[in-house]
Amino acid sequence: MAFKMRPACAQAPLEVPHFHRWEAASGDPVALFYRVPGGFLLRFPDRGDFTVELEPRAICCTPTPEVSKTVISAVYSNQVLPLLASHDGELVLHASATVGPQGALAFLGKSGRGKSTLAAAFARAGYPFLTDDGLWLEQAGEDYLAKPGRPDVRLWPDSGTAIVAGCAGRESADWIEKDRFGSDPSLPFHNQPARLRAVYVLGEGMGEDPAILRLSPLEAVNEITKYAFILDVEDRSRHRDHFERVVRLVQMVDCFSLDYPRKFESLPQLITAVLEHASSEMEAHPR
Amino acid sequence: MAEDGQLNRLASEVQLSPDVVVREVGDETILLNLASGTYYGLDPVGARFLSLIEQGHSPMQARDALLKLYEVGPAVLDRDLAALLDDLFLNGIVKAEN
Repeated sequence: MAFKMRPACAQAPLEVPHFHRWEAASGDPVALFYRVPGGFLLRFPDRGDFTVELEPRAICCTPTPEVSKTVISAVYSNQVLPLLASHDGELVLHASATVGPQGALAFLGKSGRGKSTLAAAFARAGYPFLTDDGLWLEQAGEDYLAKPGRPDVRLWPDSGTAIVAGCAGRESADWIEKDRFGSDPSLPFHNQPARLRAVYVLGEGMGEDPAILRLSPLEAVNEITKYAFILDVEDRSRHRDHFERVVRLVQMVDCFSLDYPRKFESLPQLITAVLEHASSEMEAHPR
Repeated sequence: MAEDGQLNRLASEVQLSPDVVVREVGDETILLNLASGTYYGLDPVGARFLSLIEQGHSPMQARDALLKLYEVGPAVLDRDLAALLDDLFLNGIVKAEN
Protein backbone atom coordinates (compact mmCIF):
# COMPACT_ATOMS: atom_id res chain seq x y z
CA MET A 1 0.00 0.00 0.00
CA ALA A 2 1.45 3.34 -1.06
CA PHE A 3 1.93 5.96 1.65
CA LYS A 4 2.89 9.57 1.06
CA MET A 5 3.57 12.36 3.53
CA ARG A 6 2.76 15.88 2.39
CA PRO A 7 4.21 19.07 3.85
CA ALA A 8 2.57 20.23 7.07
CA CYS A 9 -0.44 22.44 6.63
CA ALA A 10 -3.14 23.88 8.85
CA GLN A 11 -6.50 22.13 8.70
CA ALA A 12 -8.76 24.37 6.64
CA PRO A 13 -12.53 23.87 6.76
CA LEU A 14 -13.78 21.41 4.16
CA GLU A 15 -16.59 22.13 1.72
CA VAL A 16 -18.31 18.79 2.22
CA PRO A 17 -19.90 17.87 5.55
CA HIS A 18 -18.55 14.96 7.53
CA PHE A 19 -20.72 11.84 7.50
CA HIS A 20 -19.43 10.42 10.75
CA ARG A 21 -17.36 11.47 13.76
CA TRP A 22 -15.67 9.99 16.79
CA GLU A 23 -15.84 11.76 20.09
CA ALA A 24 -13.70 11.59 23.20
CA ALA A 25 -15.29 11.05 26.58
CA SER A 26 -15.28 14.85 26.89
CA GLY A 27 -17.43 15.19 23.75
CA ASP A 28 -14.63 16.78 21.73
CA PRO A 29 -14.22 15.39 18.21
CA VAL A 30 -11.35 12.95 17.86
CA ALA A 31 -11.87 12.12 14.20
CA LEU A 32 -14.10 13.34 11.38
CA PHE A 33 -14.95 11.22 8.34
CA TYR A 34 -15.49 12.74 4.89
CA ARG A 35 -16.26 11.23 1.50
CA VAL A 36 -13.92 12.32 -1.28
CA PRO A 37 -13.59 11.06 -4.86
CA GLY A 38 -12.06 7.62 -4.78
CA GLY A 39 -12.29 7.11 -1.05
CA PHE A 40 -12.28 9.00 2.21
CA LEU A 41 -10.62 11.82 4.07
CA LEU A 42 -10.03 11.20 7.75
CA ARG A 43 -9.45 14.34 9.75
CA PHE A 44 -7.87 14.05 13.19
CA PRO A 45 -8.22 17.56 14.67
CA ASP A 46 -4.88 19.15 15.55
CA ARG A 47 -3.06 16.07 14.27
CA GLY A 48 -3.50 15.72 10.51
CA ASP A 49 -5.58 14.66 7.56
CA PHE A 50 -5.30 11.23 5.99
CA THR A 51 -6.66 10.80 2.48
CA VAL A 52 -7.46 7.18 1.74
CA GLU A 53 -7.80 6.06 -1.86
CA LEU A 54 -9.38 2.64 -2.12
CA GLU A 55 -8.46 1.51 -5.63
CA PRO A 56 -5.55 1.29 -5.95
CA ARG A 57 -4.95 1.49 -2.21
CA ALA A 58 -2.97 4.57 -1.22
CA ILE A 59 -2.80 6.82 1.81
CA CYS A 60 -1.61 10.39 1.92
CA CYS A 61 -1.03 12.28 5.15
CA THR A 62 -0.99 16.02 5.63
CA PRO A 63 0.12 16.69 9.20
CA THR A 64 -0.66 19.89 11.05
CA PRO A 65 2.33 22.15 11.65
CA GLU A 66 2.52 21.48 15.41
CA VAL A 67 2.30 17.72 15.41
CA SER A 68 5.28 15.42 15.85
CA LYS A 69 6.16 12.45 13.68
CA THR A 70 5.60 10.21 16.68
CA VAL A 71 1.99 11.30 16.99
CA ILE A 72 1.36 10.95 13.25
CA SER A 73 2.86 7.49 13.34
CA ALA A 74 0.61 6.56 16.26
CA VAL A 75 -2.50 7.91 14.53
CA TYR A 76 -1.61 6.02 11.37
CA SER A 77 -0.98 2.74 13.21
CA ASN A 78 -3.70 2.97 15.83
CA GLN A 79 -6.50 4.65 13.89
CA VAL A 80 -6.07 4.71 10.11
CA LEU A 81 -4.84 1.17 9.57
CA PRO A 82 -7.56 -0.35 11.80
CA LEU A 83 -10.20 1.59 9.88
CA LEU A 84 -8.90 0.24 6.60
CA ALA A 85 -8.73 -3.25 8.05
CA SER A 86 -12.36 -3.03 9.11
CA HIS A 87 -13.25 -1.93 5.58
CA ASP A 88 -11.53 -5.10 4.37
CA GLY A 89 -13.54 -7.32 6.71
CA GLU A 90 -11.48 -7.49 9.88
CA LEU A 91 -12.73 -6.86 13.41
CA VAL A 92 -10.73 -4.21 15.24
CA LEU A 93 -11.87 -2.59 18.49
CA HIS A 94 -11.06 0.62 20.35
CA ALA A 95 -9.66 -1.42 23.17
CA SER A 96 -6.59 -2.13 25.20
CA ALA A 97 -5.82 -5.69 26.20
CA THR A 98 -3.83 -7.45 28.82
CA VAL A 99 -2.97 -11.10 29.26
CA GLY A 100 -4.03 -12.61 32.57
CA PRO A 101 -3.80 -16.19 33.83
CA GLN A 102 -6.87 -17.26 31.79
CA GLY A 103 -6.01 -15.39 28.62
CA ALA A 104 -6.56 -11.99 27.09
CA LEU A 105 -8.88 -9.45 28.69
CA ALA A 106 -10.01 -6.51 26.56
CA PHE A 107 -11.02 -3.09 27.84
CA LEU A 108 -13.28 -1.10 25.51
CA GLY A 109 -13.95 2.58 25.78
CA LYS A 110 -13.84 6.04 24.29
CA SER A 111 -10.65 8.06 24.13
CA GLY A 112 -9.88 9.31 27.60
CA ARG A 113 -11.77 6.55 29.41
CA GLY A 114 -8.65 4.85 30.71
CA LYS A 115 -7.85 2.03 28.29
CA SER A 116 -4.14 2.80 28.06
CA THR A 117 -3.86 3.47 31.77
CA LEU A 118 -5.32 0.05 32.50
CA ALA A 119 -2.99 -1.66 30.05
CA ALA A 120 0.02 -0.01 31.68
CA ALA A 121 -1.23 -0.71 35.21
CA PHE A 122 -1.76 -4.40 34.50
CA ALA A 123 1.66 -4.60 32.89
CA ARG A 124 3.31 -2.98 35.87
CA ALA A 125 1.54 -5.60 38.04
CA GLY A 126 3.10 -8.36 35.94
CA TYR A 127 0.35 -9.00 33.38
CA PRO A 128 1.77 -8.09 29.97
CA PHE A 129 -0.14 -5.84 27.62
CA LEU A 130 -1.11 -6.82 24.10
CA THR A 131 -2.10 -3.35 22.97
CA ASP A 132 -3.00 -0.03 24.52
CA ASP A 133 -5.43 0.91 21.69
CA GLY A 134 -6.56 -0.82 18.54
CA LEU A 135 -7.27 -4.47 19.34
CA TRP A 136 -7.20 -6.70 16.27
CA LEU A 137 -9.25 -9.87 16.64
CA GLU A 138 -9.08 -13.03 14.59
CA GLN A 139 -11.52 -15.89 14.77
CA ALA A 140 -9.79 -19.24 15.25
CA GLY A 141 -12.34 -22.03 15.31
CA GLU A 142 -14.54 -21.57 18.38
CA ASP A 143 -12.23 -18.92 19.85
CA TYR A 144 -11.22 -15.37 19.13
CA LEU A 145 -7.54 -14.49 19.25
CA ALA A 146 -6.42 -11.07 20.40
CA LYS A 147 -3.40 -10.05 18.35
CA PRO A 148 -0.48 -8.03 19.70
CA GLY A 149 -0.26 -4.39 18.64
CA ARG A 150 2.59 -1.93 18.98
CA PRO A 151 4.97 -2.71 21.87
CA ASP A 152 4.40 0.62 23.56
CA VAL A 153 1.86 2.39 25.70
CA ARG A 154 0.92 6.01 25.22
CA LEU A 155 -0.15 7.77 28.40
CA TRP A 156 -1.10 11.26 29.43
CA PRO A 157 1.57 12.74 31.76
CA ASP A 158 -0.34 12.11 34.99
CA SER A 159 -0.89 8.42 34.18
CA GLY A 160 2.69 8.05 33.03
CA THR A 161 4.03 9.54 36.21
CA ALA A 162 1.71 7.59 38.49
CA ILE A 163 2.03 4.20 36.86
CA VAL A 164 5.20 3.92 34.90
CA ALA A 165 7.47 6.23 36.81
CA GLY A 166 6.17 4.85 40.10
CA CYS A 167 5.46 8.27 41.53
CA ALA A 168 2.28 9.45 43.17
CA GLY A 169 -0.26 10.95 40.79
CA ARG A 170 -0.41 14.72 40.33
CA GLU A 171 -3.01 17.07 39.02
CA SER A 172 -3.44 17.06 35.28
CA ALA A 173 -1.87 19.92 33.39
CA ASP A 174 -2.52 21.16 29.87
CA TRP A 175 -0.90 18.91 27.32
CA ILE A 176 -0.96 18.21 23.63
CA GLU A 177 0.75 14.87 23.24
CA LYS A 178 0.82 11.70 25.23
CA ASP A 179 4.09 10.27 26.48
CA ARG A 180 5.18 7.06 24.89
CA PHE A 181 6.57 4.22 27.01
CA GLY A 182 8.21 1.32 25.24
CA SER A 183 7.93 -2.15 26.66
CA ASP A 184 10.68 -3.42 28.95
CA PRO A 185 10.85 -5.93 31.82
CA SER A 186 8.98 -3.52 34.09
CA LEU A 187 6.32 -2.89 31.42
CA PRO A 188 6.09 -6.28 29.73
CA PHE A 189 4.55 -6.79 26.32
CA HIS A 190 2.93 -10.00 25.10
CA ASN A 191 4.14 -10.46 21.53
CA GLN A 192 2.00 -13.46 20.59
CA PRO A 193 -1.75 -13.75 19.95
CA ALA A 194 -3.71 -14.78 23.03
CA ARG A 195 -7.15 -16.31 23.38
CA LEU A 196 -9.67 -13.59 24.19
CA ARG A 197 -11.51 -14.62 27.35
CA ALA A 198 -13.55 -11.55 28.28
CA VAL A 199 -14.43 -8.05 27.15
CA TYR A 200 -14.95 -5.25 29.67
CA VAL A 201 -16.68 -2.03 28.61
CA LEU A 202 -15.37 0.86 30.69
CA GLY A 203 -17.89 3.04 32.50
CA GLU A 204 -17.59 6.67 33.45
CA GLY A 205 -16.20 6.15 36.94
CA MET A 206 -19.25 7.04 38.99
CA GLY A 207 -18.91 4.58 41.87
CA GLU A 208 -16.54 4.34 44.79
CA ASP A 209 -15.70 0.68 44.17
CA PRO A 210 -15.24 -1.44 41.05
CA ALA A 211 -18.57 -2.70 39.71
CA ILE A 212 -18.73 -5.45 37.12
CA LEU A 213 -21.98 -6.54 35.50
CA ARG A 214 -22.64 -9.08 32.76
CA LEU A 215 -23.99 -7.51 29.58
CA SER A 216 -27.01 -8.98 27.83
CA PRO A 217 -26.40 -10.06 24.23
CA LEU A 218 -28.10 -6.92 22.91
CA GLU A 219 -26.09 -4.69 25.23
CA ALA A 220 -22.89 -6.47 24.24
CA VAL A 221 -23.60 -6.11 20.52
CA ASN A 222 -24.44 -2.43 20.99
CA GLU A 223 -21.31 -1.70 23.01
CA ILE A 224 -18.91 -3.63 20.82
CA THR A 225 -20.32 -1.99 17.71
CA LYS A 226 -19.98 1.41 19.38
CA TYR A 227 -16.28 0.77 19.98
CA ALA A 228 -15.44 -1.04 16.77
CA PHE A 229 -13.47 0.54 13.96
CA ILE A 230 -15.83 1.04 11.05
CA LEU A 231 -14.71 3.19 8.15
CA ASP A 232 -18.01 3.65 6.33
CA VAL A 233 -20.95 3.43 8.73
CA GLU A 234 -23.36 4.08 5.85
CA ASP A 235 -22.27 1.09 3.74
CA ARG A 236 -25.11 -1.34 4.40
CA SER A 237 -23.44 -4.40 3.01
CA ARG A 238 -20.37 -3.85 5.16
CA HIS A 239 -22.55 -2.97 8.13
CA ARG A 240 -24.36 -6.31 7.74
CA ASP A 241 -21.05 -8.19 7.53
CA HIS A 242 -19.76 -6.32 10.55
CA PHE A 243 -22.89 -7.21 12.49
CA GLU A 244 -22.28 -10.87 11.71
CA ARG A 245 -18.73 -10.61 13.03
CA VAL A 246 -19.83 -8.87 16.21
CA VAL A 247 -22.58 -11.43 16.79
CA ARG A 248 -20.06 -14.25 16.45
CA LEU A 249 -17.77 -12.50 18.93
CA VAL A 250 -20.56 -12.04 21.47
CA GLN A 251 -21.55 -15.69 21.05
CA MET A 252 -18.02 -16.80 21.86
CA VAL A 253 -16.72 -14.26 24.39
CA ASP A 254 -18.37 -13.05 27.61
CA CYS A 255 -18.89 -9.30 27.84
CA PHE A 256 -19.22 -7.15 30.94
CA SER A 257 -19.48 -3.54 31.97
CA LEU A 258 -16.71 -2.34 34.28
CA ASP A 259 -17.04 0.85 36.27
CA TYR A 260 -14.44 2.00 38.75
CA PRO A 261 -13.22 5.21 40.39
CA ARG A 262 -10.53 6.93 38.36
CA LYS A 263 -8.00 7.11 41.15
CA PHE A 264 -4.47 5.89 40.58
CA GLU A 265 -4.23 4.62 44.14
CA SER A 266 -7.24 2.34 43.48
CA LEU A 267 -5.66 0.58 40.49
CA PRO A 268 -4.17 -2.35 42.46
CA GLN A 269 -7.62 -3.06 43.95
CA LEU A 270 -9.15 -2.83 40.48
CA ILE A 271 -6.62 -5.20 38.96
CA THR A 272 -7.30 -7.77 41.68
CA ALA A 273 -11.07 -7.37 41.25
CA VAL A 274 -10.92 -7.85 37.48
CA LEU A 275 -8.64 -10.88 37.64
CA GLU A 276 -10.75 -12.52 40.34
CA HIS A 277 -13.89 -11.79 38.35
CA ALA A 278 -12.42 -13.23 35.16
CA SER A 279 -11.29 -16.34 36.99
CA SER A 280 -14.63 -16.96 38.68
CA GLU A 281 -16.57 -16.35 35.47
CA MET A 282 -14.46 -18.80 33.56
CA GLU A 283 -14.98 -21.40 36.24
CA ALA A 284 -18.72 -20.80 36.33
CA HIS A 285 -19.14 -20.57 32.54
CA PRO A 286 -16.39 -22.65 30.93
CA ARG A 287 -16.16 -22.47 27.13
CA MET B 1 -60.65 -9.81 27.42
CA ALA B 2 -58.61 -8.24 24.63
CA GLU B 3 -59.40 -4.65 23.70
CA ASP B 4 -60.78 -4.03 20.22
CA GLY B 5 -57.79 -1.86 19.36
CA GLN B 6 -55.37 -4.63 20.24
CA LEU B 7 -57.25 -7.14 18.09
CA ASN B 8 -57.39 -4.65 15.21
CA ARG B 9 -53.63 -4.25 15.27
CA LEU B 10 -53.14 -7.99 15.35
CA ALA B 11 -55.53 -8.32 12.42
CA SER B 12 -53.31 -6.19 10.18
CA GLU B 13 -51.12 -7.78 7.54
CA VAL B 14 -47.44 -7.15 8.13
CA GLN B 15 -44.09 -8.30 6.86
CA LEU B 16 -40.53 -8.15 8.07
CA SER B 17 -38.72 -5.15 6.63
CA PRO B 18 -36.10 -6.13 4.03
CA ASP B 19 -33.67 -3.81 5.82
CA VAL B 20 -33.60 -6.03 8.91
CA VAL B 21 -31.06 -8.73 9.75
CA VAL B 22 -32.02 -11.21 12.48
CA ARG B 23 -29.58 -13.24 14.55
CA GLU B 24 -29.86 -15.34 17.71
CA VAL B 25 -27.36 -14.79 20.49
CA GLY B 26 -27.91 -16.99 23.52
CA ASP B 27 -31.53 -16.73 24.55
CA GLU B 28 -31.94 -13.35 22.90
CA THR B 29 -32.69 -12.50 19.29
CA ILE B 30 -30.98 -9.39 18.00
CA LEU B 31 -32.16 -7.43 15.02
CA LEU B 32 -30.16 -4.89 13.08
CA ASN B 33 -32.13 -2.31 11.14
CA LEU B 34 -29.71 -1.43 8.35
CA ALA B 35 -31.75 1.61 7.39
CA SER B 36 -31.44 3.26 10.80
CA GLY B 37 -28.30 1.49 12.05
CA THR B 38 -30.03 0.58 15.30
CA TYR B 39 -30.26 -2.70 17.16
CA TYR B 40 -33.33 -4.26 18.72
CA GLY B 41 -33.62 -7.24 21.05
CA LEU B 42 -36.39 -9.82 21.45
CA ASP B 43 -36.99 -12.37 24.17
CA PRO B 44 -37.88 -15.94 23.12
CA VAL B 45 -41.63 -15.26 22.86
CA GLY B 46 -41.09 -12.11 20.83
CA ALA B 47 -38.60 -13.93 18.65
CA ARG B 48 -41.09 -16.73 18.01
CA PHE B 49 -43.74 -14.16 17.11
CA LEU B 50 -41.42 -12.45 14.64
CA SER B 51 -40.30 -15.75 13.20
CA LEU B 52 -43.91 -16.66 12.44
CA ILE B 53 -44.40 -13.28 10.76
CA GLU B 54 -41.24 -13.88 8.75
CA GLN B 55 -42.67 -17.23 7.61
CA GLY B 56 -45.68 -15.42 6.18
CA HIS B 57 -48.19 -15.79 9.00
CA SER B 58 -50.39 -12.86 9.94
CA PRO B 59 -50.07 -11.45 13.46
CA MET B 60 -53.37 -13.10 14.37
CA GLN B 61 -52.21 -16.47 13.09
CA ALA B 62 -48.97 -16.03 15.00
CA ARG B 63 -50.93 -15.13 18.10
CA ASP B 64 -53.06 -18.27 17.76
CA ALA B 65 -49.91 -20.40 17.40
CA LEU B 66 -48.35 -18.82 20.49
CA LEU B 67 -51.51 -19.45 22.53
CA LYS B 68 -51.04 -23.14 21.91
CA LEU B 69 -47.35 -23.04 22.78
CA TYR B 70 -47.38 -20.98 25.94
CA GLU B 71 -49.42 -21.08 29.12
CA VAL B 72 -50.76 -17.57 28.91
CA GLY B 73 -54.24 -16.10 28.89
CA PRO B 74 -55.50 -14.71 25.57
CA ALA B 75 -56.07 -11.22 26.96
CA VAL B 76 -52.53 -10.98 28.32
CA LEU B 77 -51.02 -12.31 25.12
CA ASP B 78 -53.10 -9.98 22.94
CA ARG B 79 -52.03 -7.00 25.02
CA ASP B 80 -48.37 -7.95 24.91
CA LEU B 81 -48.34 -8.78 21.23
CA ALA B 82 -50.18 -5.59 20.31
CA ALA B 83 -47.59 -3.59 22.25
CA LEU B 84 -44.77 -5.56 20.63
CA LEU B 85 -46.21 -5.00 17.18
CA ASP B 86 -46.47 -1.29 17.81
CA ASP B 87 -42.83 -1.26 18.87
CA LEU B 88 -41.75 -3.28 15.85
CA PHE B 89 -43.50 -0.81 13.56
CA LEU B 90 -41.98 2.15 15.40
CA ASN B 91 -38.47 0.74 15.04
CA GLY B 92 -38.91 -0.12 11.36
CA ILE B 93 -38.63 -3.87 12.00
CA VAL B 94 -41.96 -4.65 10.33
CA LYS B 95 -44.04 -2.78 7.83
CA ALA B 96 -47.56 -3.11 6.50
CA GLU B 97 -47.83 -5.70 3.79
CA ASN B 98 -48.64 -4.23 0.35
